[in-house]
Amino acid sequence: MMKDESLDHLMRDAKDTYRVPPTADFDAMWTAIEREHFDAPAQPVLAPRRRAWMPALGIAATLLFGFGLGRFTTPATPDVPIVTDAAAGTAAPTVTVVGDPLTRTTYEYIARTVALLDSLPNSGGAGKLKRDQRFAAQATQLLGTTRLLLDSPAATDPRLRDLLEDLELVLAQVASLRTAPRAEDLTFIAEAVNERDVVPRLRAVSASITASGY
Amino acid sequence: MTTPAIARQAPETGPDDPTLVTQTKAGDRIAARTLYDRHSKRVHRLVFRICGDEELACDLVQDVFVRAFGQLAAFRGEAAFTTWLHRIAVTTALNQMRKVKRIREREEVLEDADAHAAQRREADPDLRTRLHAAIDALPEGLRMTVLLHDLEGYTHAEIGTMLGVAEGTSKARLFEARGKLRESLRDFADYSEEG
Repeated sequence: MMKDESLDHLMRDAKDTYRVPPTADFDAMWTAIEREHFDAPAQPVLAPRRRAWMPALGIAATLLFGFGLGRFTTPATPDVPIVTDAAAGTAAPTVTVVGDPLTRTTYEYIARTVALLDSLPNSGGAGKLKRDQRFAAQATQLLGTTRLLLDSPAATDPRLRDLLEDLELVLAQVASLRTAPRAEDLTFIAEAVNERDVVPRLRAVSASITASGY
Repeated sequence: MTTPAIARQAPETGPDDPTLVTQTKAGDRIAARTLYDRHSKRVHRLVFRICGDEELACDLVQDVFVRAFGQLAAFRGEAAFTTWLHRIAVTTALNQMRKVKRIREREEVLEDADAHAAQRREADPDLRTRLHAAIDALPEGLRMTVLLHDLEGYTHAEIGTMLGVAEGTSKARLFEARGKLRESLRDFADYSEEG
């Protein structure tokens, strides 16, 4: 094994040699920035939308995880019955699970994640977050569970892995709100959810699961 | 090429960042340009090191500054402008990387890190190249920590803020990452600074 001192020396070298950026046309970039920021018509401030899609997300995610985990974690012997009762229109699905510990943990994880994201204030609620550290604390816990699930057999399904990775980033951003949360932090979180097309992807997966007769 | 509306400013001269931020908030383009000139090279290097793609890095620089200027009203100066800006850069780059699936592709390549390293070992005996390949092969969280700490010089506290993890997590990730790098370079165990 290489010694720490030797690696230190190599890393000092890498500071100057690793992915050295090529020459860039900074003037041209500025022109584009100036045009977009200063010359574009005023845009309404992106306000995190009240997450009306969260109930759907919860239901779809529950189906998704049930589907995925069923594929990877249930034994070859007759299946353990899994009973779900995701009440449409509620903030967090009510789920009754009879199954192995991993499945149960996953269902609880999804329900708690949905509840957390649904209750997260919009950009005007940074003060509330500062007073109430439970959001960040719960996100930190859920982040740990996310990473455990990413290392579990469930994550071998690319769709499940995609969803877990996206949730990992969102939860990491929520967890970072523990110190002096600001309005733009909440905007970042809303953007992270929107830019990944989370809702269309979940709906697509949900539809395919429904179509499969699950 | 289009001539920029405002000429390049001398990056290290003129008002300090808080003054420029205030002026930019008031719509002063020259102040904005000065901030850009002062910070764009570092942001460009950072996002290029994250994504490794020349064209994407330029897009990201533009995106970072458009976002930063757009959200400047919410910047109250609790942290240094640099820290705030670089946090936007990291978040934007990671979001974009995930969107285009490049991280996943790299992780898939890296899932068999030993096999990957072995192939590299035969193909390229150069130690520096091997180290760069080993850094590229690290999982995202570890690679970001190595990149930000060892190559970009951020503190663990700053990295924690940028990546949304605890300071201790950043330290643990660096420890793990360096262990993986040393393992990847095990064929060079006898290497020393003196050569």
